[in-house]
Amino acid sequence: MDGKAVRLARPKMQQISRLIFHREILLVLFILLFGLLASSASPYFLNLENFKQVLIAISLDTVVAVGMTIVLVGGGIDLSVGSIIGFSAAMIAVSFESGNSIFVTILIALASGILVGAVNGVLISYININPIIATLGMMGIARSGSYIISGGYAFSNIPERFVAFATANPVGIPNIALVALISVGLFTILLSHNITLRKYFFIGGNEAAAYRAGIKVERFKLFSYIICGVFSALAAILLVSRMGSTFPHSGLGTEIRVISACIIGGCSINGGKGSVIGSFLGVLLLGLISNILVLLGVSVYWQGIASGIILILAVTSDALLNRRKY
Amino acid sequence: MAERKKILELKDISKSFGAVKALKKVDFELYENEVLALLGDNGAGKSTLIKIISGVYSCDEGDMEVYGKKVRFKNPQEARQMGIETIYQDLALFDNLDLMANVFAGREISGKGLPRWLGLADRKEMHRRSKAVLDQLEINIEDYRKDVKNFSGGQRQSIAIAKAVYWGHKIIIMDEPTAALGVRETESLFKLINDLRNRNVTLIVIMHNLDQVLRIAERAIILRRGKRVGHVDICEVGPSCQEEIVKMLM
Repeated sequence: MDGKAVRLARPKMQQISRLIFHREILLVLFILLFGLLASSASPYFLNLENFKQVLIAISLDTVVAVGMTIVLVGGGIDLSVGSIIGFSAAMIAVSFESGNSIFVTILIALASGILVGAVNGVLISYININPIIATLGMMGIARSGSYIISGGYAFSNIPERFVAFATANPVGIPNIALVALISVGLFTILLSHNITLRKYFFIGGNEAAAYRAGIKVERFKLFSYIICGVFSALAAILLVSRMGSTFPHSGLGTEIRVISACIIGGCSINGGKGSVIGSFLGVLLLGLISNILVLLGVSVYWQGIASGIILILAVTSDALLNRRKY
Repeated sequence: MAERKKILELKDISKSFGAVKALKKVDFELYENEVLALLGDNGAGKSTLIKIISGVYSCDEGDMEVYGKKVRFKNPQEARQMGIETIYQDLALFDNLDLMANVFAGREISGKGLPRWLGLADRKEMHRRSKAVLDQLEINIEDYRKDVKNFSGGQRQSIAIAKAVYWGHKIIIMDEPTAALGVRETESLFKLINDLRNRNVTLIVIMHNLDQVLRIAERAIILRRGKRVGHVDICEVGPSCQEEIVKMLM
């Protein structure tokens, strides 16, 4: 607003520094550096087969992270994703036990995710319950639901064709990883470029202004939880397909890992920031850390410490870059 | 003033919040292409009146006409469709997004062919149009791809105005537009307000600084305790009307 001149050209240096400080680029560089160090620590790390195993291991968290990213960008949070996995997995078991076909069972699993997501969404959007409280409540309800439905037992009476899907390898990588990567690719583009999904950046950035701009905030928030429920149910389908059995505790702890990964990947806990590719890189980094610890024979109890340090480092770097002096 | 076209008229507007009567049979008129100052102390009813005009509240009693058409807005979108945009003190910007996203908030445009089918936003075109409107208004933004949280108070105010102008709003209501601005930025804002007047935009400004009101407004309507206590034609009377306004405010 100062002066008459209109200068809209972007200096080259600004473009370069913005690119370097992009969270996704930083994460890729960090993962490459980590990979370099890890490969010198273990000869098995830099190996195509090992990388495939990492991809399979992180596939479920990756799928859940897609839905969680949309919720986080819209200014919400979903703590019930792990329980939705357990609930949907129990529904899959019950459906197969009842003699339903694979197609009907998949529909039932997805409907379970939609149901829990819709309850979350209604509580948060229309009754104005804090997302942490609402999804914490649903986390308990859905987990109990999975125990009640399954009677607390594991089921392994899963049709062969269903089990064969996750591990089948038609294009060089297992289907379970393929589904995860397709979800990441598709929703990376859609969340950042699709006019409808981009509205989550407005809602997460300034909910009141989004309402004044004519965005149907409540409806969009409701849909974000439904989408998250669907991705969690998809993770349950892939999990049962991969394991060939279901357990009432399936998905336990997923929410912590996925939320951590999304925040490492650039999502803001306050909403309005994040990308699906960033969240995927966050999941990948945590997966690689777990992998190297296993390869080095370090106790699994150390994995939580390692991922906790990465999470705190990521949030600290954000806080330092954006800190304000009062 | 008699020959000027009345574009907004409110008659006998009353609004209560429980036992509190915020507005009591208030009349209000706005002429095309003028800058009108709405003055009053705290609790005078300025904000309530503005919110009725912009569709945030609906009045309990009274009539409202916009461009000769009787209206009663149910929400801000209906007011916006009639060409009325309000720029609140908080500016309602999205700090996490860039200028282009802010100008097109909630109304982004898609490309042609496959991108349109996929509902993909045409960022290039939106950037081009955002630049064009900034260019028209001679607003200087050095790096328009930055998130708007990085801009100064004056630049943010300009972006909010550019957004209103881009969407073709002919009546712009500005609530305390200079409250967060420095001297230099206030001067630039006044220049922008003058430019807007030349573009046939009509403005209602709420301000407390009488010197600033006398510089930019042509007319002032004064409210006190929910009632209209008078109006002053600043263009006719000139700066000497300050005493008269103060008397009405007290």
